[in-house]
Amino acid sequence: MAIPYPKKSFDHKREGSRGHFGHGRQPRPPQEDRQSKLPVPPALNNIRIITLAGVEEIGRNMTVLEHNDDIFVFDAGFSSKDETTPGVDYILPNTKYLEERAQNIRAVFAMHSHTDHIGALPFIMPMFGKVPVFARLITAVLIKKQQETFPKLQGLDIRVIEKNQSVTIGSHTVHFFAVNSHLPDGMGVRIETESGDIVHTGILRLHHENGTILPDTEAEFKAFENNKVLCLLADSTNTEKPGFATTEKEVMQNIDAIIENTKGRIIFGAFPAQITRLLHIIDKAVSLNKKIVTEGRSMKRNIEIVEQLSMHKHDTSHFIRPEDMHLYPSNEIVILATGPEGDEYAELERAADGLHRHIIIEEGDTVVLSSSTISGYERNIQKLKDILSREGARIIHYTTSDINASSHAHRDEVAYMIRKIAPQYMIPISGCHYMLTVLGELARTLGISESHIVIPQNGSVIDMTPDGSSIRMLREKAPNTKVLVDGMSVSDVQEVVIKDRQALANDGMFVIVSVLDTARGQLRKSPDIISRGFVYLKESQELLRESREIIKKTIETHALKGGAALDVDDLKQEVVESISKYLLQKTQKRPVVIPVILTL
Amino acid sequence: MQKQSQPFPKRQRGGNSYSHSVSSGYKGNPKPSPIYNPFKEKVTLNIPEIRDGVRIIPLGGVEGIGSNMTAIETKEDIFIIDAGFSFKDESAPGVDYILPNTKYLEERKHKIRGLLITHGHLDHIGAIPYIMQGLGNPPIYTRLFTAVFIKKRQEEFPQLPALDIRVVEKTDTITIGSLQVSFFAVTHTVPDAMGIIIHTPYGAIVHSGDNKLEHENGIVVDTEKKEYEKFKNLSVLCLMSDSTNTERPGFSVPESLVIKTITTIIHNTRGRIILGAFASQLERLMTILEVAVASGRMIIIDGRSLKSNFEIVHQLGMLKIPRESMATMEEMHRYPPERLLILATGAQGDQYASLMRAANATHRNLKIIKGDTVVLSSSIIPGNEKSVQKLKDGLSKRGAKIIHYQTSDVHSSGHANGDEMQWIISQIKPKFFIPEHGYHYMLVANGEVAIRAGVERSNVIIPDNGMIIDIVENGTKIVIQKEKAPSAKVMVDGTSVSDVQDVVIKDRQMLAEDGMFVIVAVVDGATGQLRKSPDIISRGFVYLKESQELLRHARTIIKKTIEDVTTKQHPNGIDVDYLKQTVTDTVTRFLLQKTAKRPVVIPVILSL
Repeated sequence: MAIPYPKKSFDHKREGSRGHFGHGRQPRPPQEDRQSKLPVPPALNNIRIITLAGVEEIGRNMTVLEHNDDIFVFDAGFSSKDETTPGVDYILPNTKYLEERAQNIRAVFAMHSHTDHIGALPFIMPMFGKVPVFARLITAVLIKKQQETFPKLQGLDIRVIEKNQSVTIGSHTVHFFAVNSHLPDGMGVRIETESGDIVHTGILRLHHENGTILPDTEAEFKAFENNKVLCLLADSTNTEKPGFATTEKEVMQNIDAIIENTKGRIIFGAFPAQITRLLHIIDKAVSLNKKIVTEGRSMKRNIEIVEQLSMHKHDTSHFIRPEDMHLYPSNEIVILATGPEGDEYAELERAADGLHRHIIIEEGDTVVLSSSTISGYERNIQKLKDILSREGARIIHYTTSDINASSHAHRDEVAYMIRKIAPQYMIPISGCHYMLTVLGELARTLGISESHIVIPQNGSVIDMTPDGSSIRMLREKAPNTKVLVDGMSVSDVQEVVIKDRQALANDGMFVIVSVLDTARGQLRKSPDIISRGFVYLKESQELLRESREIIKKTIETHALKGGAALDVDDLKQEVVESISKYLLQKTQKRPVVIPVILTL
Repeated sequence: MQKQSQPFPKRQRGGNSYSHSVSSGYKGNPKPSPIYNPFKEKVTLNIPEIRDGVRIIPLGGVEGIGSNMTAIETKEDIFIIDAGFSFKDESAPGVDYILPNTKYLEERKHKIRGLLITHGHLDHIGAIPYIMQGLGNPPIYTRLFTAVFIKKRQEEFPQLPALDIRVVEKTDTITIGSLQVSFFAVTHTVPDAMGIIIHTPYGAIVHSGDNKLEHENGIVVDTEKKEYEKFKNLSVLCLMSDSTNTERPGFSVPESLVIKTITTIIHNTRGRIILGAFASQLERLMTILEVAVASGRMIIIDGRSLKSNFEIVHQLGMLKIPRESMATMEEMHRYPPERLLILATGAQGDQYASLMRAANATHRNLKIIKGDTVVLSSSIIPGNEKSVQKLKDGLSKRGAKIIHYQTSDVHSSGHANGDEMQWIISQIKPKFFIPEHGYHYMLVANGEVAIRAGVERSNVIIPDNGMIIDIVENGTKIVIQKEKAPSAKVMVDGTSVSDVQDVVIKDRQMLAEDGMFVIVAVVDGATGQLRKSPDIISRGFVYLKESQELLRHARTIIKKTIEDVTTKQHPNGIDVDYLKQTVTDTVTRFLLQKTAKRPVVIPVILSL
């Protein structure tokens, strides 16, 4: 056996197979910001805010406050995959900056219980060492439950706190407050510094009636009257939406009407985390003497949690097992299924497919989709509605009826909050860049000067001088490449893998295996071609035959020229180029071409 | 090497191959010949023929948005209404377009009397270049603007034979085959949109195309009322109508309000205005340009589809603005920002469209600066939410102020809401009703609308693609045949046009999720031993540089698996298929255990 060619077959070099023919399908790579590669200077005495993630997207929230050797982390959320990251399970914030300073991390605040705020905890907490997580009761229990799905991990040090509580962490005094009218798990955090408070609102929703703020919310904001707020970090998600969000009360009224007036079974699909709403539905159903069936892991889990915490008592005789449903008339049955967001909360989708053991959608069922559509899931919802209607269900959706209240404050609510808190500086967070600019614009119209408003990016480092007299965003950025959870791998180096997946998804692959007899400069036999996801091979015999000819000719011509000094890398390059060009011409497709040339 | 020296013979398949070039949306590339072999097998001839009565087959566009096509068949004639395509979605990666399945029609092409096109949007005309030859190139009947549009598009396919397009007017009544056909004008978003009336002995078959109503606060305007008076004394047997927005209550935002809102924006904005729009909303864009010119702005049009559309309306004399009011991108710097209105494509966040390039700062001439106002005068097509979000992010990052339909009345859909459709149906008064254009749940919603408008519940048929609906017994009875016309999706994938792509698509989906893992091993035929350590080629699976241990381990397992089999089987010759299967199973299991991923494992075993 002759010289084995160098181990290049798993090299990630793109082998020049791309971008040679004018109209590349792939977008141009973003221009690297050179400054962002420089190391971030130490915070010194400055009051530093770092928006690690969640400010160029919805999801994976994580914001950092660093001051006098204390680091506080707000939220540790993940995002689900989207079409740009095929095969990936979750996307996490990049925590490299924090890992390098792990000894200074004093606390992680879990601002509320949705996965975009707590989902990344199991992945990142081990890297921080023993850092306590502060959360309100429900969030705390949900974090514990989430942690249990990773049995190998150590338990977390979770500290349950409630609103209006104050604690000293490191050298700082930290106050917790609640400014959300319908999430019993949500909280805001106010941290004192010598130049004023740093306030993070978490998810904000005000208690109002037709746009008039109610006394309980007024009272919550009293706390800010005598405090100077240096910097406000606030949720941007829905600032663009005018007025006040639909109140939970109106939603409940509409849901009550549905429960009262519907003949036949009612199936609720809602976010499992919308606990208050679930409890209300259960209460209403119980009061009408209906039977309740729960389906879906997280739905069951949440109801269990609420029972555990005894925050709510209900008569267990009203809960029936799914298999007993047939014992009751259909208009006595209310089914709670996990959320309709298609992907992650799969129960309703399974039911829709008619595959589920117990819930088979029947003619006469009413399905209530009581949650808004997460951006990016619109198609899934469309498909879901399609399947449900095909099975004969009537669908009530938030687009046609007021049965969902957003968890995020609308414009006038945010404006009220900004007026009450009256911060010196404002940093919009939680949202896509555009949403952040809308909140920034709102803050400006409320009298905060433009130079005091900072619109951050993922990884932005924002320093306020110790006396609070100025704020600036550094040119350097904290590491902010996406960290992908992909099977068992958790890393930020997957970009090349993802690019390959995208290329494979669009045009498939084309592997060429040929055995070259170097002594004679000839192929030992006709090359083998392995192709998947490219064209329908059975009907493409002619294409394959011609490809083989081109490969043979390319290799043999090259081998003849090269003689003893044959450079296999050059040869492969040439095979890739000629075959890619041929396939593009013939099929208008650009499969990933991979040549394997064995020399003997 | 390997220049053009080698002639690659044109692919020929059983006589139904033809040559034209496929436009992939790029300009100036050499266009190869398509491989046209759409259908797997012949099955449709066992479907019972329609003897007396009318057969209606929705061939596309009733299980999703796009690919609209409906066949109307009597004993003697077939009429086809619309021939659209839809764009790919995430369930068909890499595919360019999806066409309606025309196999039923191809096998009865001697009966095809004409293709009637309601209006010039791609979901109604997009499939024409791909299907006309298979249908025997029947005459196309449509109104002027649509006709010009179809012709213009056909020019991208120079190898195709010319189309036989016959221009009709909304007042015309013509004879096609053995039946009379007349038309009515409908309000949509392009000029010359129409509905179609086919007069059969049992009553009229009406297709209303894509339509909405011009109205003021829910009061339908007189011009609409007048047009629908055509139905006053007409006995309509069956109506097919557009379901897209019928789930929405009430009336849609009237177009007049949209124009008013945008006019106010034009008057009150001091800087440049960049209007992102669909080329398909031509009517609105024409009005906006007139307003802009009247308020002293120069017009710059950017984007190929917009330019060619405006070229058409200019030629037809439909656009009433002087040529001097139009400038080019290169001349932009000559005018102050407050005197400019730029019309740009890409409001859906399309990767290569003008607006997206401006947002990414990759547009050569259009640089977004502080003070620019971008008006996104279109809604977001489901599936495009993320790209539109990126578009807005990019624009706002560069300082533009954005006005869009969710916060301001700068867009109205071209499709009727529930109450509008109810008004339309109650004017047409059909006996039978078949909702079309939309996902199933949208069709169900439209069915409910028809019932509210007075159609009997049992006379409403919610169709699937390929459903054969016969109206028989002198127009008194409607039956659904148990056979279906072929309805497998026909995909345009590069140069291939066919319905056999499922297996290819499935592979692509698997590759997209977990990547691939190819193993190349050379077995010494004499000893059954591997000649050297196996080669592994992997893409899209894990980051290999950091997985050396995994690869080493995999090689050991492969070597052992192969040699276990070969040494056992050895002198009697090696069963390569069995060997490959064993290797695939073992390696797949190993990789799943180690990485929780399931790449496509392909073993190549060479015996030397």
